[in-house]
Amino acid sequence: MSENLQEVVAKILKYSEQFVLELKSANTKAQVLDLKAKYVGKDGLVTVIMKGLKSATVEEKREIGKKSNECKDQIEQMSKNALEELEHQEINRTLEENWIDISFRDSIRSKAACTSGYHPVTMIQREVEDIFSSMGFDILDGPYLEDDYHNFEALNIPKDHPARDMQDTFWFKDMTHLLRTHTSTIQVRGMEKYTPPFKFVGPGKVFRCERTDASHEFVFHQIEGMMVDKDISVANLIYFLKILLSEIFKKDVEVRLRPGFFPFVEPGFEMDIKCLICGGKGCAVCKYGGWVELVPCGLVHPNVLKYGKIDTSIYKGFAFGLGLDRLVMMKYAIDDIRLIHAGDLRFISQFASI
Amino acid sequence: MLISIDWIKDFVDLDNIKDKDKSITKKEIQDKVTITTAEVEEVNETVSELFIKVRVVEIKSIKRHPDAEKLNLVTFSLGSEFGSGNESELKEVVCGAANVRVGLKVPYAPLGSKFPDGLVLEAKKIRGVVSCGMLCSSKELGLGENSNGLLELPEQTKVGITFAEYLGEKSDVILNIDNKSLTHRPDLWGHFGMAREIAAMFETPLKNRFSNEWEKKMLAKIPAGSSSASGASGASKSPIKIYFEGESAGLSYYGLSVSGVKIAESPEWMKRRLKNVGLRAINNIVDISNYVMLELGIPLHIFDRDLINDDKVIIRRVGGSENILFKTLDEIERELIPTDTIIANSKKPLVVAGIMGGLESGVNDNTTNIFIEVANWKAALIRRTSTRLGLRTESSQRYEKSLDSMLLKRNLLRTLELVLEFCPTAKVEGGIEYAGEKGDLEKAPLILETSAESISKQLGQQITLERMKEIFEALEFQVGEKGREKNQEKGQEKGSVLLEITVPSFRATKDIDCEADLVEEIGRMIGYDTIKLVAPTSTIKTTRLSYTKEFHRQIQDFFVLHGKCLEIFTYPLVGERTLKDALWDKLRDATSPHYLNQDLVLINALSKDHDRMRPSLIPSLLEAASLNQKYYDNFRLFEIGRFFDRETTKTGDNTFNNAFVDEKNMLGLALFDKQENMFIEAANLIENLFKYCKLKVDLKEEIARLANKYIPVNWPGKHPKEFLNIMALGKIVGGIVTINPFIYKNFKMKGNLTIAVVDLSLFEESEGKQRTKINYKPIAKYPSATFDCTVIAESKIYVAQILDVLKKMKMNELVDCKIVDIFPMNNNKKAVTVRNIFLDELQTLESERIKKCEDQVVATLAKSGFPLKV
Repeated sequence: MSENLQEVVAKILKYSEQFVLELKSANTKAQVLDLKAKYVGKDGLVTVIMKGLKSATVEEKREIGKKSNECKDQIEQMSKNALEELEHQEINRTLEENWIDISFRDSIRSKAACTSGYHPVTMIQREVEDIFSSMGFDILDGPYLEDDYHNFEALNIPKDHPARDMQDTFWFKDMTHLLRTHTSTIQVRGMEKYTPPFKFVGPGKVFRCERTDASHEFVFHQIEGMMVDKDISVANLIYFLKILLSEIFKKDVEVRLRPGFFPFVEPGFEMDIKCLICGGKGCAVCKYGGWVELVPCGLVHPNVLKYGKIDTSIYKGFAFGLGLDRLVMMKYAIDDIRLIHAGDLRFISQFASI
Repeated sequence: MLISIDWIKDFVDLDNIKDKDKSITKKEIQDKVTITTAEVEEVNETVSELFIKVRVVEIKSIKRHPDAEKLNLVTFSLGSEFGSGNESELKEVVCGAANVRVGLKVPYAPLGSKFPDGLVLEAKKIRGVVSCGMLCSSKELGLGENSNGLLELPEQTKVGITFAEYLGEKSDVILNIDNKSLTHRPDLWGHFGMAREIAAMFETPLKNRFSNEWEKKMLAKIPAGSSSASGASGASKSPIKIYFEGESAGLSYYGLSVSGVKIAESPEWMKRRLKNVGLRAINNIVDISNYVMLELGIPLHIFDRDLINDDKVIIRRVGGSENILFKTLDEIERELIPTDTIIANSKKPLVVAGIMGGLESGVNDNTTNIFIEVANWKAALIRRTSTRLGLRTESSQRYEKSLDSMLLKRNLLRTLELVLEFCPTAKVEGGIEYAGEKGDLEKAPLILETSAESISKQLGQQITLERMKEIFEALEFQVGEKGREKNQEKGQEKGSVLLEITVPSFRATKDIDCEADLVEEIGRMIGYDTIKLVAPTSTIKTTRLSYTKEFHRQIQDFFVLHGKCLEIFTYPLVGERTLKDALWDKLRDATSPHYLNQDLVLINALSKDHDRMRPSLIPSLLEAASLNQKYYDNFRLFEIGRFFDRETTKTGDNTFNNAFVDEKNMLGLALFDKQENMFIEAANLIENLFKYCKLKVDLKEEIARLANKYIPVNWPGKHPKEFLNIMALGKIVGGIVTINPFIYKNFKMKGNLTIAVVDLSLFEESEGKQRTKINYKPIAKYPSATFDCTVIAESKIYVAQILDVLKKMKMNELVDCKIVDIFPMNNNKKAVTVRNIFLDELQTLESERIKKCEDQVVATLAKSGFPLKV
């Protein structure tokens, strides 16, 4: 060996440093590859040193071999890193060239893909249906076009009963068919379908021949509920409705029951809830009374059960009704009930899901 | 109905309720009546609170305000009844009025008074001197426009009285009760009945001035006694006899003749009471009839007896040949028909029974002889006539609720009592006359059986027998014990006592007829708020949404989450105008004979815009689109709504068929864009909807032999080409159509509108039994080969036809083929690239075999007129 051990080791270290320096100015893949070849290629500077080891002593071989291998590994690793870095930069350059405006989203577009969503009554109705469903109630419906029997007679409202005045009825020419004035008709339909014990609710549209204004509409939505079983009591009814209302309003509500006259229940009640807006102190919503009339209800009148062919000596039942539009209007502070059926997207889109 | 608390106090000592040291407040009475009996909508004081606060004072001394030239410091006295000593009864206020002088009597408003303009008097310094209240002008009290100085009261006015007392106005509290909550309570349409409720709810005795003794005393004033009822003839003969003639609304009719009355004004107290409950005072006799009705809840009528001009009144129906125009008291001529009941003399009608008297025989200023009628009528018949005439009177409102004949005599005697009180010279002629339907006064009392246990069970709360008895008796039900209930198993007598409850006649006319009614009496009197809540015990049962419900929810979910649609509701009712705008009247197709739903027109629609059930959702969707295109360049909306048609075929019982009409659910979809055509989008949504609902559907072009009744072929609103039938279950269930701009002018709109409708009833009836199943297959073990080829086709040929050719080939290896691209060419041609997938599930496809498949595809296409593009 012409050079001594120290000189060779120093040379290797020098190559190593030199490579690092030169790599810094390599800007293309080709330059990096050339540089790599210059040092660790077939006739590269480091390769040559390794080849020249044949004449060295075992000790020299071990020392120089170790150093030059280290140098080679380092150069290869750095070349690889440099190449990957260059490739990444190259891809990114292309990507940047294909620039898109990421701010131009639907939210700022004039002609956006349409918003979509459920009608607010659908949302409330589903929520109420799901609450009932979770308590084991079936969900039924019936026709809008009813006959006198289902809307009145079977609900203990015979002809010439003054209670018929309470509900302004739309009649068809034959004077026996009408548009249902309440979802209580679904009670009659339900009793025709089931044998006790049973429980079901019936949501749907109802019709009243009433002058319309911001708080009166001739088509609106109710949900009727009926439960028939042995030993049903007033205490059960209150318990049940209190749970229902707490679920709907998602907080404990204070309720009160007072007598209310509906021919199909006896005893009959109006259930009021303590005004949620003012907490009972009195405000415009509760007409300064502190209570809001919400659920007409009662124990099913024995005559109604008899019409439904139910043995009143064994079974009793409770029934109640709830105005869905009222709930929707309370929830979103909607000021005009006529928007419900207007088909106006300026209204509907405010409840959009997407 | 308005209830005067002052009047109630004639019967209930509201100022001395047990366990209460104070009298009952307005709020307490409102809440209590609402909770136990009927909704009190409002409570009002008849005299403003200001007039009760303001008092009459006498000015004692005047001195100049130390710091203001025009102001005086005035000392005055509140009178000896107020204040504890000479010193403290004197008060000092600052006053700027010019007419202030010693000795003057003026109204004084203490601190806290609230004036009509909203001002509340507070203690404040006026130029350094505290004024404790204010001396008032008439303007300040809201009495007049004049504010020139203090209101000077007459010298003799008593110092210390309230201004209300000075004005002679007695303060009263008026309950405004919701009439609807009294529909079932005929007994509460008078103050005495309401007093009974109030006495019961406050657990205090009812002062019944209409006792048997009172009745005896009153009867003693009738020299002839009850002539007809007793059969005896007395001192003088009754000038008017009563006859029932044939079937009528009449139940019972009492009459009494009185002579020598003098028409005058009623006394102040009566005028005030009538005014407070909303009635105008007219004269003593008319006022008495109103007063007695409002007190006892049963109407009556007083005739000028001389104008009856006969010796009899007849209760009968209107005769067939009679002049049926009759002028009632309100001076309106009304047409009476043969089912109406009247009270007539031998020649002509005098009164429309139970509704309103006639103008000709009414009491007037010259009346001296009267005939008092107290009667009861059949509720349903009175209601029918009153509804027909559109005449709801105080009287008919009461009769239609079923009144109690047993109380008629009391009404008559009370009327007589007041007549004799107001006209001491008046003299009864003859006796009480009576006619009535057989047995009307001899009805057996209604007795209901129950037990304390049964009532407690239905309320879900234990209530003692003693408490129940108290309540029943306060409400004048009689409680009898019938022995003990037998224990069914052991045959032994159990603890619960069987009760026999005798219902008072005035509650038995309609209101109370079964045990449940008794439960209500107890429940409302103990207060429903005292009932402890108990969960129902019921058997466990699983519940699921019905298929229809689930199906509707799926549709809504699909359109909201996938279809980018907004859900709308439209009225199930439309008007002829909208149907005509939608050119629905042009449908003279055999499949839709009732194209305008003329049979489904309401007789009492609110407006012509919504007077009939809609035959389809399409007109409603057109209206909604027309409205929304004013505000949006593009929108997508859908509705699940009902439509009504009069098909004769009846299907299963799941839809809402009755003999009258087919009422079915329909899905309506409307896609609108100002520029772009929305047809493909709509068709895609419909196809995907059915996929999502796991239902098979086929969209088919117009088929000549199958009529689409949802979008009929001759509907002018239909686009000539952009139309597809929606086929499922082997039937046409709907259609997709682009709306023909021809119709736009009727809806004042511009743009592209595509509508789809689907009759959901067929799917609902089969409850989803036809749902498609997911068919899993193992993933192919061998690779597939893809072959794209581009062919040439006529430009107006549907590309689906190209694929149809390939499908018909039935080549086993061809597992899929789809269109990749279409690009237009010259000469009305287009190039269509088709992608074919070849696969053999059992082995790898060799390249030779693939080549054979490709050749076959190309040859078949060429043979069918789609040559390979070279």
